[in-house]
Amino acid sequence: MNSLPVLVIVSALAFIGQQLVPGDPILAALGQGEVAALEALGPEAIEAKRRELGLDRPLPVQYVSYVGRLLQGDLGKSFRTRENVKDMIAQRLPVSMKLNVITFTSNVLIGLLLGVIAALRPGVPDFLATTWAVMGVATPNFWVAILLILVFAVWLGWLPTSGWVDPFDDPVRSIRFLILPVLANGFFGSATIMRQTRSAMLEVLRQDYITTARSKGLREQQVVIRHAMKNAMLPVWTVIGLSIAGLIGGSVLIERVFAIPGVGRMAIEATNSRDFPVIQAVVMISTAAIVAANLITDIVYGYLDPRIRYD
Amino acid sequence: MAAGEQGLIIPTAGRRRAGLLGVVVRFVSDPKAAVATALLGFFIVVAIFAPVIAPYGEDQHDKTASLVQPSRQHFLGTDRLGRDIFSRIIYGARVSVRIGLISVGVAAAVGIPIGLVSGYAGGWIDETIMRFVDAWIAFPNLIFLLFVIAILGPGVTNVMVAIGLNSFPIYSRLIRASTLSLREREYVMAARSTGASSGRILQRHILPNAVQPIIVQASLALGSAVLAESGLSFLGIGIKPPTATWGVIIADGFALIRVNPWISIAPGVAIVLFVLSVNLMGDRLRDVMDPRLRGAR
Repeated sequence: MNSLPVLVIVSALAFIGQQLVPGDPILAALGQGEVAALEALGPEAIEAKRRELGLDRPLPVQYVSYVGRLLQGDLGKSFRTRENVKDMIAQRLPVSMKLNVITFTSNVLIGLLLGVIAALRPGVPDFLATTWAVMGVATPNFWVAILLILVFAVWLGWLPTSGWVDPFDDPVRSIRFLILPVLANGFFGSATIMRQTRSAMLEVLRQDYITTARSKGLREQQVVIRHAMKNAMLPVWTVIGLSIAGLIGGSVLIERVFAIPGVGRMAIEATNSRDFPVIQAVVMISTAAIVAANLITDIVYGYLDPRIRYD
Repeated sequence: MAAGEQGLIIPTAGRRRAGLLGVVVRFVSDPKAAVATALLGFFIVVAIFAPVIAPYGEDQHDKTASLVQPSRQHFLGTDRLGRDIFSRIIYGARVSVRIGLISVGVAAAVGIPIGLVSGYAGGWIDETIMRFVDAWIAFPNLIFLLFVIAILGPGVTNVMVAIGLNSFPIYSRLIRASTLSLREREYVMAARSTGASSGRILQRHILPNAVQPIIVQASLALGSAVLAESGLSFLGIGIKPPTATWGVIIADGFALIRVNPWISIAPGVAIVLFVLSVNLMGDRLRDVMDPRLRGAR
């Protein structure tokens, strides 16, 4: 996927979205209080302000100026709090990023490990892993989160029900707060990685070169890790790359359930109050994250299969 | 090999009927698919006859029965307002199934024409439309739904539109892929040579033969739509209380998890069973419709 056109089109959609929100755009730019003050001065004052802000210009011109502001890191001001959206994001993005990076790492480790076990051990482990994969696709992550809270926080009292401790501030304490959100948001992601790993491994383990490797007397561990896994990783990596979008979307729900002060929770509050500049910023940042993840996925393809080259 | 020689689907009524019967027979021969179909049928019956089946009303308050534990009178207990949870879950099926079906319809109605035009026109039109579709897919699902709800506002209709708009690119891509191949077939060229308009060719000759992957996709998308709706309602930005949807009931119960966990557990079970049933049906449908997948592990 070509990244630049995607970002241009998404920014255009985000801009058009703002035009579709009911209400005068000047309200979005200035806020209720300032518009009321201008109204008191008369309609000329509002029109002058509209001209000053460029809101009277044609939409394509306004779009170009919107992109220019975006490139300078100006994400506008929140309708609701009149805070700079850039500052709001800067405050919450590190929390969401830490949560998502930890969830992603745990998904990949759990998915790969269980996928390999399921492929190597037909029978009960295979059945359990496949059942989990089917269930993972059908189960909402927020409901998994509630079940985990019920069992591990309410009934057993082992872990906290909600909250956030930064892993860099207090790594040991933060683990207690991270376990449930990571497991809940990873339920689906790790299931899909596991499912793909299992089928890719089954495919590769049938190949002649695996039989040759075994017949040479190589240990099973070497056959699996050095010969089978390396070749099975290409389709698995595709699924890993695709799971990132689900992870970012899923973390919105997880942040809500566990009261984690991240971008997702801010996006929910913004949607409820139709605070469009905040939503626009969240859309642009999450799309940029997915585009970056796709780029990394493509680069890793080249490493996994040296025959793949990009012009 | 010329395009026309590749396993050509001949659009005659007799063949189509025989093919359809074969698909149905192969479909029900799988026990998992049969159970999934029965389960989905059960949900549909519950949704249609909710007012007859449910022992209490959707939003029937009873202050004297606030937070009652599961009992004979209230199978799954009651919430703070004394509303019967079992009845609300039954009514929830109604909303969830309706939203699922209509949002799939919206996605297909938007995605199919776009894919048909893109695949049939080719060239720069195809290129432009597909870049647009790629960009649309780059949105994370839930963020996109928040974006659309922020524009349209909450409510049943807007949630259906948002979910439909979120998933239309898959239909566009599928139908475009089929159209690219079908437009080169002899019968399409023959229709073109007789002077048939592009609209007629697309409607009469291409669409009926390109619809098979769409049916499979639509069945799988039904589950995703219900999951999306429940997520939005749980967040309080989709369908607002007091309307009973499974997501709303889970959210109501979350605050009462220490008092009556069943309020959150039971609607979640309903969601999982519903999505599982449509996913299993979709998988089976794909297997029986695509001969290459038959017998695959």
